[in-house]
Amino acid sequence: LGVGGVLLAACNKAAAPSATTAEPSSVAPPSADVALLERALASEVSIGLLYEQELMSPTIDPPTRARLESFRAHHRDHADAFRRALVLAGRPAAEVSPSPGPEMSSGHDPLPALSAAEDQLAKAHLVAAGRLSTGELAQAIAGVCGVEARHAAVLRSLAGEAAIPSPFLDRQ
Amino acid sequence: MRLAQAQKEDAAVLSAAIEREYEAAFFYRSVLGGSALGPSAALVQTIASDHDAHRAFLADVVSDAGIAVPAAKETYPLPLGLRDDAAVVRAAIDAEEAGLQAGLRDVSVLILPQHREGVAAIVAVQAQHVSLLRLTQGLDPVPRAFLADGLS
Repeated sequence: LGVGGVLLAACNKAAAPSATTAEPSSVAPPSADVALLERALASEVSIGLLYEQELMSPTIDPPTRARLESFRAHHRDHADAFRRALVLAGRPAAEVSPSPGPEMSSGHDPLPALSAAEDQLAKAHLVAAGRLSTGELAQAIAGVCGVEARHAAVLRSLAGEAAIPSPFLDRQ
Repeated sequence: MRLAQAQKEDAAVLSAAIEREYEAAFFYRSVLGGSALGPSAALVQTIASDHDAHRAFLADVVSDAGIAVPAAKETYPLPLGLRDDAAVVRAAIDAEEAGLQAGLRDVSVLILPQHREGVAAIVAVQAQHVSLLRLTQGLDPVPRAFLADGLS
């Protein structure tokens, strides 16, 4: 089924109207789950743009460039999964407009910025795993969180830093 | 559901996770005490320490719920053919992957948010273990976009 399917199924279930709803509303407010998924989607789009920007750096060697392109593709897959889940929940995501990234000098090392962004994203998904209302959704986003954590560890390793600075993601 | 009941149900799930941590600890203790490990020894030592921390965390949660923490067995089955560094790393990759897939299932059944988040924080680090172990073998460290699709 994959995380996209799990997200789709779980989000659809979570968004179904309650049997105790008294009055239908023409514009229902987003559920807490939908709000969390929208935030997760925006974060995936933002980090994808950061990768685009960092991949323009001339200092990246070919093996590292291939690695970064692979990670960027994972973020596209994550964004697609969140987008599909939102569509099925009846809340198609508006085009997100992430804020522009900082100006980079041509000689800067892209790895620290990317590993910090991956770390931040992994922790945001971790918090969402605790807040989403169903076990299926929590499991699905935990599966995405783990991949961001892997990206962060690999990037730290490539930068010569301690790859796993703590036994728990939230303390890294 | 009352909080106490939720804590007890979660404690049952987390007790099974502690059993898995005992098994992992036994594996890592065995290989660290043997002679097969070479260049991966430092990484394996780090991973073993991480598992000790996971076990202690889970034991605290179970204990706080008023449930007895399960005791470790004296021995656990070990993979066959742990004759050199690469064989140990392959076995470690398999062990980490099995552990984290079980952890992901736990996230889906745990009731209390803090328990889901705590286990997810462990699962993420196990996923990092797999990536670093794969790097030592020259393998793609993150070949898939979703943990649920498998890690290798």
